[in-house]
Amino acid sequence: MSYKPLPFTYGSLTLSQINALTGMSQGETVYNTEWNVIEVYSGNVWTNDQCAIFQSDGTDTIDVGNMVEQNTSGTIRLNTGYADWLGVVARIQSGYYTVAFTGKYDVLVDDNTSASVTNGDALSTNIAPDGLVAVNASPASSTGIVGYCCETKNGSSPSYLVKCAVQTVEIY
Amino acid sequence: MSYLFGNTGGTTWGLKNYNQIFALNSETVGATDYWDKSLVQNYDTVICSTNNKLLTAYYRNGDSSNELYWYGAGIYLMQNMDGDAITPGDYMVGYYNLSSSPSTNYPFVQKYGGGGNPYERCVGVALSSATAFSERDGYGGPLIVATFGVWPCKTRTGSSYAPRYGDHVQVYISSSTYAGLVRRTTSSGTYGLIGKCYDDASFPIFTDSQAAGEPAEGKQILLWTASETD
Repeated sequence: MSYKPLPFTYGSLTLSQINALTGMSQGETVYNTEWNVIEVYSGNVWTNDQCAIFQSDGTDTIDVGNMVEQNTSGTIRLNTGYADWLGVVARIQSGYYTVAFTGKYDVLVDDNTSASVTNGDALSTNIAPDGLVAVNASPASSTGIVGYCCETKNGSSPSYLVKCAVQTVEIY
Repeated sequence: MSYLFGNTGGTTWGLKNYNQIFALNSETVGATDYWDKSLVQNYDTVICSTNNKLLTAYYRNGDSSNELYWYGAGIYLMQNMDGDAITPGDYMVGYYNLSSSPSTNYPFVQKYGGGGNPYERCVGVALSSATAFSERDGYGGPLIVATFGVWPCKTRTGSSYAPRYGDHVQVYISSSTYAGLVRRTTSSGTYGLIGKCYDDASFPIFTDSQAAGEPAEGKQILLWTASETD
């Protein structure tokens, strides 16, 4: 079977290759082979249909995998509970944060609360320190569920990245 | 599919903003965001610069004499069942009172007009217009609805209602007077939450084809795909 080349500006690249690109212009495109999504360059940061772009309010150190919430200035900070959870930081680039509200992304699990995770475990925000998640054994009767583990993994202190199917409902 | 123009991102038409693509006056000469779409062909592509979404053109049955729609992730063609016509920016909920089974392949949606529990049927925001429910046909016109992502939505005005940064955004459930609008709420433990206020700057939404017109008040809302209600 013949094929046609992808029409995207940068073709298909891995996540690390995309993050290392320089000199992009707004509207340029690439296929992300790790997330399996088409990404569009906003002029500041790569993003995709599963994410929205924010900036930090500067009060917290925010890393990829952190849960974040939005403050009253429209910027983000580490999530402090469950009620205002916005999403998980998928990428940080030039001071901009690509925050995923659905899809499969790495989340930071608190090792102190959950020393390991099992594929299928529910992950919750409100039983872990700010910006982190932990395994919740009773998701049906709990608040703050952000998604489900997509891998089995032993942890490492103080927190570790785990692939998670992030859910998209408004949590209360 | 038409030939590739090779515009930005490898798309047919490059970057266009929300109003150029979706506003009802976008093909009216003199409108600020005028874009003549007469050359757009089935499966042409464009990037919406307002929310960085890649969109694909679709004429029903591939016939360019039909209305032009734009598809993308989470955007679906649906059927209006509301007694009122729909314009872009109206928030749509699932139809709750199906008394007949009209023959159509698309999901039935309506603005909330009383009855039922709209907060259990949150769907998304209209990106196109649609004619009102027709007794003769058993349904209204088709429309495209965006179910998730950052999109302009019509909002209720006033400090108690207009969404602001950090607010939860809620389908307006207390009165049919405000059908199709969304509002702010600071309470997380309530029904009908559909997302967050993404930008609290005003985003006027054009509801007719006049070049200037009197656009409805709107804001950009980050929509989830659903609302957890109970």
